[in-house]
Amino acid sequence: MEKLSFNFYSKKGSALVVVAMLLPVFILIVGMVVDIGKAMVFKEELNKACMVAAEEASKCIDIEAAQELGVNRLASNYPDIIYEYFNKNYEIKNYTSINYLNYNVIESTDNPKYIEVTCEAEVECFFLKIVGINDILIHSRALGRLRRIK
Amino acid sequence: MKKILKLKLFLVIFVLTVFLFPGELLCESWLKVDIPGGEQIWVDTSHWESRAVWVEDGYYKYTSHREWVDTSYTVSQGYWGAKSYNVWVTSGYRQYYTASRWVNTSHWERRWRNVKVWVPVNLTIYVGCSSYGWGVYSFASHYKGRVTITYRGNRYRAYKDVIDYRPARGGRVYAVRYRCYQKEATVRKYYNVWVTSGYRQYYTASKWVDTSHWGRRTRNIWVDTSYTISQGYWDEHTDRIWVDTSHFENRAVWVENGYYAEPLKGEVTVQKNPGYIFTRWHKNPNGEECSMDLNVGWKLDNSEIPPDEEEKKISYIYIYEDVCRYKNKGVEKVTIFKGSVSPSSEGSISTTTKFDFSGIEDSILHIYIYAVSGESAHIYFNNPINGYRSINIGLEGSSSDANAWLGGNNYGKVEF
Repeated sequence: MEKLSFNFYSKKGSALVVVAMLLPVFILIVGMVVDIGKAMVFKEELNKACMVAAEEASKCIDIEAAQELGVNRLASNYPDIIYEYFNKNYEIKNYTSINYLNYNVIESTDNPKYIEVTCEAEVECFFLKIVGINDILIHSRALGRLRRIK
Repeated sequence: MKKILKLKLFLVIFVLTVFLFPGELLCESWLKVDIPGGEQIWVDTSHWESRAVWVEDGYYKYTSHREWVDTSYTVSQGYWGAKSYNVWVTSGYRQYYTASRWVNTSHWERRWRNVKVWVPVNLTIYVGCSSYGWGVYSFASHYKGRVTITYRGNRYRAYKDVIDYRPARGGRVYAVRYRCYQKEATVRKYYNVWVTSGYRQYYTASKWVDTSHWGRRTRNIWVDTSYTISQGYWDEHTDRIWVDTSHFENRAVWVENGYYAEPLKGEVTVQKNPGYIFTRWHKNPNGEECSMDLNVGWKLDNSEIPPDEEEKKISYIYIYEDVCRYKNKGVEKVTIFKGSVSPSSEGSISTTTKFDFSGIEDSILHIYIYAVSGESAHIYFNNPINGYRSINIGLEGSSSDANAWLGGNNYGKVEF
């Protein structure tokens, strides 16, 4: 009968052990990159949508009052313009959701300086769920200027 | 001392303003006018005139070309040599020989033959009586027709009369009379006969036998063995040629001309709507592009012009705006109206203009009115064009109201 022998100092199979230990870490890193990258891409898209919405809203002046009286007054439909151009400039995806879209007129609608458009959204994670992170929260803010700075 | 100096300075400025530039004193605050001063103005009618002018012109044309320089030469040489050649030798002789020919002697020949013919004759033959006796009994004669009789070897054709009479005394008288009128005679009858005849005649004949032929001759000739050696080279050189392009051409020549005339006097009204002008990219409540309606009216005062001078009438209007763009992007010239109008001392025009670019407060709208006789007046005013962010909110402040859009003027009148 052949006798089984075990050599404690032999290096056979050590690489397998190392790979088995590092593989989950590697998968986690790749997952982070993918999920965070996805969130960053969507954040850029939201930024663009907010900027366009704020920009278009800043053009939404009451032209009749402006021509006749010279006053700078926002038209009453500027919130519709914000929603319209925001929604036109971002693509709805099944792994994202918009929490809110806010706007704020700096000073007043009768004498506006800026229109601030803010937005919050959630991006659902795929790989990071492994470590318990289900969503990534992203914020976006853009200003639409109604006056020229010299 | 300083007070006196200030007072003098004020007086100088006041006098200059009041007496030398009275037009500007009467201007509305936002409308400005610029007309030549003085009692009489020089109406410059200088103009460009197209004239045919001889233009001395030309240029040097450098042409590079390659020319073949032929250095070929001929070597003349040869030798005398025999040369055979063919010549045509004319020769021959006369050959005699016996020949025969048919001599035709056929001819017409006159011949005769005997033929019987009836010839007239006058002969009376009595048979059985004499001519007397016939005379006695001729009363009893009867004609018996024509008969042919033979009498003394001759044949006759005759009328036959017969007397067959039995007299009372008895007996019988029988006699026959033949009155011959033709007699058969033998005569020669001639006729022509073609007689075919001939004979073969032998004679001595001759013919020329041509023995001409090509003969071979030899002669000495000069055999030319001269030859030419073809050689040469390309010579490249550049020529400079003067290409004369002098010509007559119609050129605009500035003809200086003009005359002195009384300056324009009158008033101009400007009506602008709206007061605050926006670019065409703004939409009014009707969804139309924003624009500027401008009405320019003029009324000339011709009461003071001399009698020998014609009444002044406006015939040409030129309105434009120099839009000074933001961020030093240059001046955009927008022509609002440029053209002739019906000559009149009082009138107005209305225009509508849309602006592509916004302009700062320094943007100026110019109005030039030209009289038929050449005088002109220049009215101008600042007319900023509002863009989306024309209101200045710089920290250092602005000359204009930061809370209102630029502009605001909509009506003005200026006298000059």
